[in-house]
Amino acid sequence: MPIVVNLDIMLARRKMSLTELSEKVGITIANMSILKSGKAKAIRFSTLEEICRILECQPGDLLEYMDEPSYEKLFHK
Amino acid sequence: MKRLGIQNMNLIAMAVTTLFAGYLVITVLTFHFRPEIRNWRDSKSWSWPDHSDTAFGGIFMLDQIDPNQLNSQLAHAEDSIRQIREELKAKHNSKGAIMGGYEDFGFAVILRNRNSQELTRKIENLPSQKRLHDSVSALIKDLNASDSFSSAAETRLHELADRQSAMFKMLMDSALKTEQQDVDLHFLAMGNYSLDPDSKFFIRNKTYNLAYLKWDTIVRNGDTSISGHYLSKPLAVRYIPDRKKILIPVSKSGYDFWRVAIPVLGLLLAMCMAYVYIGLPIHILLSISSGYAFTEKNIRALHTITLVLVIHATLTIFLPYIIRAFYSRLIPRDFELPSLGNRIMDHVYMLLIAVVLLAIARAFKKGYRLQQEIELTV
Repeated sequence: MPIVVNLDIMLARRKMSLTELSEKVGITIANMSILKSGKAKAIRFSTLEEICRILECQPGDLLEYMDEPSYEKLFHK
Repeated sequence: MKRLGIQNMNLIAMAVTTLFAGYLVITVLTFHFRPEIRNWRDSKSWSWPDHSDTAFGGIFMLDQIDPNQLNSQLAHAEDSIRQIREELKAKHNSKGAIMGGYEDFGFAVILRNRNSQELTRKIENLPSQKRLHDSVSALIKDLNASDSFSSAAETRLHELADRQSAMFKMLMDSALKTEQQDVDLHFLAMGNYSLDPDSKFFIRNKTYNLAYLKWDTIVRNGDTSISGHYLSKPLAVRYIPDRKKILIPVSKSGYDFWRVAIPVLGLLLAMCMAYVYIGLPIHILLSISSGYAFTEKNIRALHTITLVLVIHATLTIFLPYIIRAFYSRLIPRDFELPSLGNRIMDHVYMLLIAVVLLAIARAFKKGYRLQQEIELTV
């Protein structure tokens, strides 16, 4: 799916760990890992809202659309 | 499947249903209203050969001697007696005594006693049989010599005929039971072969023969009449009418191979079928009961059952015809298998179950995808 989740970038900017974020958002670390690694098929608006609130960012800062060739190139598929 | 779209799938389903219904309607209409059948029935007069026809030892004659026959027809009684004996011989020769063998899925190897013909000859040469035969011949000679009709003589003839046939049968049965079998014949047996009622299988001089009705068309003053006469031809195979089995002679090594191969293959097939038709459904049921309905394993199991069902149905329908084609040089066209249409109709339920199972498998596949999506929704 050519939607890339830039969660690791935002976490680095806010100097926050994935575990800390998962605790604050209230979802498991496993689910947060799925989201971070780009394996997630969908994200709930409520989860997105929580993440944006805690990381003080916009949904656009977290999600990015890439065209298929660039996406393939990025992930070496 | 996605590309087809719901609308197109509906159209395909409608088309298949219409084709199937059309096939049924055409089959029924063809059977009832085919012009050539109607024309033959209406415009031609048919005459079967008389039942008193004594061709081939009288195997086409009725079982009993007609009690109302005239004095002048009594000469035929000897033929009738011969016919009874021939029938008994044919019966014993065709049935023989199955000494061993194994049968599975309508395909079998059979070991047969070869001595029934020798037994028949032995019994015919017994003094009691000879005496009876001579008595009948003498009686017929007397009847032919006298001008007047003698009902007493006729009754006596019937009695003698009955006694002779009963004695022959008894001797044959007891001899077959007690005789030591030292020489055997080996056959490959195939079931479901029927013979036209106007054709009969018989054994003569250790050869297999088929007597059949040959129709002759006679056109006279514009009217068509059809009459028949009997002909015979040699066969390479033996036939058991009451079991509808064709026996193809095979070598001892061939028999030994099939005797082992058929039960082994049968056992393997039975085990595979038990796994697919019983084991897999139980596995799916247990898995659903445990809360794991939409799994790859269940989808694979449903697809496997569907595939096996389709292969099973296809083989069940077509295998007899394939085997027949394989042995087409040995099995003449007079031996008929049930029609392909009937066979398809008999086993169409298997294909319908396969279609339903395929639909369930597709639904499970969709369910599996949805479940994966839900699991990967954060």
